[in-house]
Amino acid sequence: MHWLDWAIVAAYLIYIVYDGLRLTKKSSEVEGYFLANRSLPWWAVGLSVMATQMSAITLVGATGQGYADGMRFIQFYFGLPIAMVILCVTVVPFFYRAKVYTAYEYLERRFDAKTRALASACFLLQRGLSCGVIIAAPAVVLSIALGWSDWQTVLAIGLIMTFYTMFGGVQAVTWTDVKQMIVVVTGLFVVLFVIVSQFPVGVSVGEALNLAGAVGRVKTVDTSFDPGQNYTLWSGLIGGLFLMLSYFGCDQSQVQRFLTARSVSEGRTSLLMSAFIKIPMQFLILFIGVMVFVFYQFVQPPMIFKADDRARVQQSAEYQRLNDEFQRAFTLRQQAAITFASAEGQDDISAAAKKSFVEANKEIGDVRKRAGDLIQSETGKAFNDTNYVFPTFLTTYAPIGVVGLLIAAIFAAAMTASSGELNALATTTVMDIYRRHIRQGASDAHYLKVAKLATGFWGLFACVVALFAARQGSLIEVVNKFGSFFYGSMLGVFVLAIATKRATGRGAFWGMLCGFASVAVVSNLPKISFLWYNVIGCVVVVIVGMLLSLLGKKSNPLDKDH
Amino acid sequence: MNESTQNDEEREYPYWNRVYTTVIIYTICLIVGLWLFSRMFQ
Repeated sequence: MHWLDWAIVAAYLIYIVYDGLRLTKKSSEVEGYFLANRSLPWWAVGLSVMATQMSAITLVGATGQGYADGMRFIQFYFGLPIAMVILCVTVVPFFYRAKVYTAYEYLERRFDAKTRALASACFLLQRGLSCGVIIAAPAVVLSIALGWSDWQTVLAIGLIMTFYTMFGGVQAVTWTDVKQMIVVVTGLFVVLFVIVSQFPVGVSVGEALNLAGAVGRVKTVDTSFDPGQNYTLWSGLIGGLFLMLSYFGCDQSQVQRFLTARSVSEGRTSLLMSAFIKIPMQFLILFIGVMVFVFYQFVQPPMIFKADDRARVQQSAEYQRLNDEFQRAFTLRQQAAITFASAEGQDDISAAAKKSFVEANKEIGDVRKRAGDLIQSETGKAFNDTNYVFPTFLTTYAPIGVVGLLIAAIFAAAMTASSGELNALATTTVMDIYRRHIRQGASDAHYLKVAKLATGFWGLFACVVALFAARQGSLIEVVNKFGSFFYGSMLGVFVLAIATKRATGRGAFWGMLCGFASVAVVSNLPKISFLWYNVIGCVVVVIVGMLLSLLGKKSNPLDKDH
Repeated sequence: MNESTQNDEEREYPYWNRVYTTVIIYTICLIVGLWLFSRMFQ
């Protein structure tokens, strides 16, 4: 990287630490540290909600997905606006007026201490691990882009984020999120302009979309009802709805965001901001990936984007043979792409050119698949290099200054997502565990001190998990899969709490355990996409919880409804 | 005091209902727009 790019990244990281620490004085009591004294404006909370949801791997992975698989991933977010409306009607006024610090606090008021403890323990376990993964995944990618080792990038993200979150609390998290979102969005628009400006003369955005569309890269809506397909209209609308309801309504890392708003109305507006902006923003990120795909129709991409995997096999005769084949296939595809792009409006030529382009693209895909198989046989791990497409493009073709801005944007996305989670982990540790089970009735200053220590502890824990996960790539998938076991069941227990009067603590507790078990069983069945786990978990918790509650009432007529 | 808060909230309902309806209509338009976008370049 050029010195100017390094300077931009360094200036950005120093500014974020300064900005976070500046807000320390506003966090001198527990309510200020965890909830900003419920004083934040809707637009800052709204940006923080979006920033917490968008991790760096969403940025880097989604552009890679746009490149490799097209825009179908956007369907994952179709349930989000509807989920936001449901949450605005139900949990936002409910939690806000209950004056709770955590969502799980409400479960004790409604059910009992053990249900609250189980829900908060699940949150701590799942979010503690996922916070590490959120740091690890971009750290691995950045380490290759910057030429640093894994531990250097993990510490650069993890320690800086822990430092400002520990001292500045939720104020620091929210206001740095606002600035970091500005960096991310600016970076996205700049990089889109850079890609499009590097298309060959005569290739417009419309022709680029024709090329991408010919090989299915602009398909955004799939109406097939196949439960094995990850992204369809139905899995997005139904499975995505359940996932978003659970994530934004029952996960402390998001609940805590809207609890910091000035009023119920501002809390609602902050969530509705995501309802309006999230899908267009995800469209932009995937669109950039598709434009990178079009760019690489005219400029030869590496056969394998992941440099360390490539280095392991590039001396082998098999790799050399595949690389020669790849170069030939690329030349054919390049010619076919130029012919197809210039044949617009001439139907007969265009149809033939499209056919040759599609065939050439398939051939290049076959060669890449064989190269991936070669790497897989060498490393013994499943091969996937989609996360490396965007950073490789940036460091190779983006102009000086833009590289620095985009690397800063990737750092920003990693820190915004993990700082919100860290703050939520500390809140749950102090409010649901320490203050409830270890030391009740201590002073505000004492809880504030414990809150800072808890933030530091979870920050270090996340860094250790990240260092381990960075070396064991498959651990990232395991942790992500592990997380998906909880969402539906957590939603189910909150449905029992808010929507029914007859549910009891016993029903909620055992219903939640049955929900976890059912998702663990279903996840081992083939051909069921992970988005459906949320629906299954939620339905099982509600059915088992209600049955146990009703049976419990019959056997003990002295029990009263809540 | 409580009564006046409740009345304020009741007065807010039509406003929020209009907002929620707008979000739903916006989402439908967005999905239809994305579907048309796919069709245009397929």
